[in-house]
Amino acid sequence: MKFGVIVFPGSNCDRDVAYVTRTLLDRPTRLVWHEETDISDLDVVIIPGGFSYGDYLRCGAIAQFSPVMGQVIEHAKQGKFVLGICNGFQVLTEVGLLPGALIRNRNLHFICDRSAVKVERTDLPWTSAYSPGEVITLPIAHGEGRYYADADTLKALEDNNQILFRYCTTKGEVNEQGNLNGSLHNIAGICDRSGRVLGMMPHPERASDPVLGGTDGIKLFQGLLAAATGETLPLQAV
Amino acid sequence: MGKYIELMLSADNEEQAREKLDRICDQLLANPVIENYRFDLEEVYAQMGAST
Repeated sequence: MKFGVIVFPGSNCDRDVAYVTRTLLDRPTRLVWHEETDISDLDVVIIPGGFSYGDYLRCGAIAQFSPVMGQVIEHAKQGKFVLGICNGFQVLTEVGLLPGALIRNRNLHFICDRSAVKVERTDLPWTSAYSPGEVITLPIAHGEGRYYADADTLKALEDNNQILFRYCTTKGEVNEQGNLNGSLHNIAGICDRSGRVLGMMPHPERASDPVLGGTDGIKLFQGLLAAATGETLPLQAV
Repeated sequence: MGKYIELMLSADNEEQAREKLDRICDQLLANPVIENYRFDLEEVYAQMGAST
């Protein structure tokens, strides 16, 4: 399973993600410059966090016109895996691979913190290494992470079980208190209908190396690897 | 929250300019999922630098 990490001018979590897939997972990984137009060698495309093209107009807005994004859409149409983290999630909503939008946090401030996150379903490769209802802790770092969608879209997301992650309290209660940025339905991460395209605001790559103080995030990558390829988990128990 | 954006564009007539602006707004300047937009159109005559 080969990973590609998209690099826009302004991406800043690209190397963190590549470190996880290349070094911790020991899987072939390459950084994909935004001008590239051939990504057919990749099994998983990851759009990392950062500020694509500066995000001056609106988060993720310019990325839709980049040469590589047309290929990412093709990649997704072929049923291959796409993961958007933070800015990557914003980009996926802007290009229409995921519904809704990410707007300014409820408190209008950039939030750099850790949040408890509830894993809502575990029957997809992305979350197969977690247990149902598991409460994990992941770093978040965003100014525009408040998930918004109209009522019909939210209902469709709920009906189709497309919400994989919700912000919650450390006890696992999904309520306003556990909702750091004011996301509707406490949404922290959603997938498309096929379950192959995942977008999430929390940073699993920042909770993967034990030296950083948490390893709840690496299970996302390990689960994907194990479920999609049957490959065993390369990371030794820590 | 809002944005105010001024831009110059060339078009043969007003209808064409409006179509162009709608497209620019829908695809780039505004995200219709979360934003509305409106625009005012003002005609200016700009020298385009064509050689005589």
